[in-house]
Amino acid sequence: MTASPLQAVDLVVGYGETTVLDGVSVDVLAGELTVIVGPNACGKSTLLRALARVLPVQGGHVRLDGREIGEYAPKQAARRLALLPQQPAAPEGITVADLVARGRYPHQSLLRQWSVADQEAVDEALAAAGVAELARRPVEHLSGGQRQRVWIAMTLAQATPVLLLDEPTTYLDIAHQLEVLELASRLQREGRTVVAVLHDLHLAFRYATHLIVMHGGSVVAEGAPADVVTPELVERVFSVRCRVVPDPESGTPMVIPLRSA
Amino acid sequence: MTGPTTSSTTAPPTAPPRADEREPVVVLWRRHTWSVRFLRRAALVNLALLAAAAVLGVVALTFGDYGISAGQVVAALRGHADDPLAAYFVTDVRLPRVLGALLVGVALGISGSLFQTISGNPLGSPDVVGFTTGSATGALVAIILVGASPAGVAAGSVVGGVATAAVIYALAWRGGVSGMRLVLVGVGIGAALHAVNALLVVRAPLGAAQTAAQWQAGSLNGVTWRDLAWLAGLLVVVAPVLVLLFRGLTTLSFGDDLATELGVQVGHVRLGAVAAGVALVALATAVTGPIAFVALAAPHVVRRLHGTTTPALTGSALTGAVLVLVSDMLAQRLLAPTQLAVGVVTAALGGVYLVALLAFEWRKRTP
Repeated sequence: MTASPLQAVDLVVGYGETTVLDGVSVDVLAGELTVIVGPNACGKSTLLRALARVLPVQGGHVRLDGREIGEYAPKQAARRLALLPQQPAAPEGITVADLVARGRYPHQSLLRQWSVADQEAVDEALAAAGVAELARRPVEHLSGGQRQRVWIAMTLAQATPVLLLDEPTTYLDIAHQLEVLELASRLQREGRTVVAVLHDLHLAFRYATHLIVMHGGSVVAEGAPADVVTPELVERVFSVRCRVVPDPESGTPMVIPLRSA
Repeated sequence: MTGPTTSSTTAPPTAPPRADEREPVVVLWRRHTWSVRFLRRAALVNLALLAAAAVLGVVALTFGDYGISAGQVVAALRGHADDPLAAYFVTDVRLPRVLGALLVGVALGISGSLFQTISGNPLGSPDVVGFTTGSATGALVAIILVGASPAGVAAGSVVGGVATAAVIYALAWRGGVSGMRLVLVGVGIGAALHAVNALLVVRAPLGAAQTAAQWQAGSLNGVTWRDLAWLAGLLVVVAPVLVLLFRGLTTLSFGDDLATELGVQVGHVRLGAVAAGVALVALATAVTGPIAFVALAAPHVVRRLHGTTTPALTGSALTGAVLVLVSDMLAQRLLAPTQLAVGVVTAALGGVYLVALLAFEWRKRTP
């Protein structure tokens, strides 16, 4: 057994001819809120999707609780690991409760379609994500932030120890971004292992308990944000010259871009 | 197969639930940690459809030159008819036609629902995607080039449908089959096969061309007990497969990533559904010739009746059955004594329905 519930070892992943990840190794640390940042097309979403086995792997290994992820039956893996994909699409007219209930799929079977445990897990997930009062509403009538919390509730209903969130805050305004990240942070404090891909560096550094910085298909830095983030790193990865100062509110690193002369 | 799918939470005590927020799920039976649940509205709609099919079936059995009352029909069905001729007409002449309409409708309704679900596209029905056209090509080859018997025509139709499906699936394959690619490739292949069908008929000798034209109109005239046995047999084989696939199918509308993440074997589910859908539409077409629009319309109609988004296989099956039966009754009565082919009526009704859908329903959605 290993302390890391989810590991990538020398992972090679690509689309067709293009290789996106070329030998990436990452240990997802148990009980942390790991945030992956990096410029567009650096492979951060690809890494997350490969870890969640929705992308086929061309080389290397993904290990879930120390075992090759491919050795698990699909539903068995889905009871240990949940992924919220980028911009998921809800079928037209579906209600919040119905959507969240779909998260119970890996716990159900032909002969066990809907149990009391399913209902409890859905109710808990709705409450945890703060969307219980929206249960009967159609998902399409909700605001962007509410909708994202509903999707997170669906992955919570899956009741997995590990939760992967692919750009959960993209296209949300600042208030809704905070809502979603506060939820992710609370889930981590309550004992889940959470991994999120984020774009906003300021919020990423504030909420991450562990940071992974990616560039050009590989991991270039890893650790606590305060130990990792330097002006040199930001310039190397994002090609932005900046100062790094402590966030006056949280003390976490904050990137202040310099004006181009 | 009616969705034991949704969940609910009790409404907050302060606000009485609005009519449309009423408890949508009925728990039929609960024991220990097990329960059997139904969507209230879907279950009621399905029961109504079932009743409609039964009543219309009896009415359809009264249709024909030899006048038989509904009471006599029921008596004949129960085997206590006073009039032996009435008994003969009901059970040997008219019953195969009515059962044929119902079974073909069931097959087309299920097939349409399956294809719309796996393609994630309301136009992803076997009529549009070219499977029906492929079945027709097979049948036309059998009629015109081989000069086959009716059984041979049916076989040709099944082979044509299955071969077309295999070609479309293979061409749409790129490390997996996306719904959109399946529809686009299918539309292309369907168009090409339409041309082939036209060419076959144009080049055929007169007699064969007439037979071909008759077959292509889609008719329940020649349905025999043996055809019914084939259809019923296939449905008995397919039903358990659909029961197994159903829960996976309901997750496909979320996209492949989310379905995979939930532990659904997306590729297997899609392939199984395509196989079942093709078998159903190919055999239905083999029995009657192409009956247009039922596979396209049934899932739409039932989705509006149920008011849900989950694929409603049972509802589509029942709706398909009622649609084909009603169309066949119209075909017999509309221009009586001239008998129309049922396919002509479904095409006309379906055309009107599709135009109405485009004009009113979709206009509302996309301003």
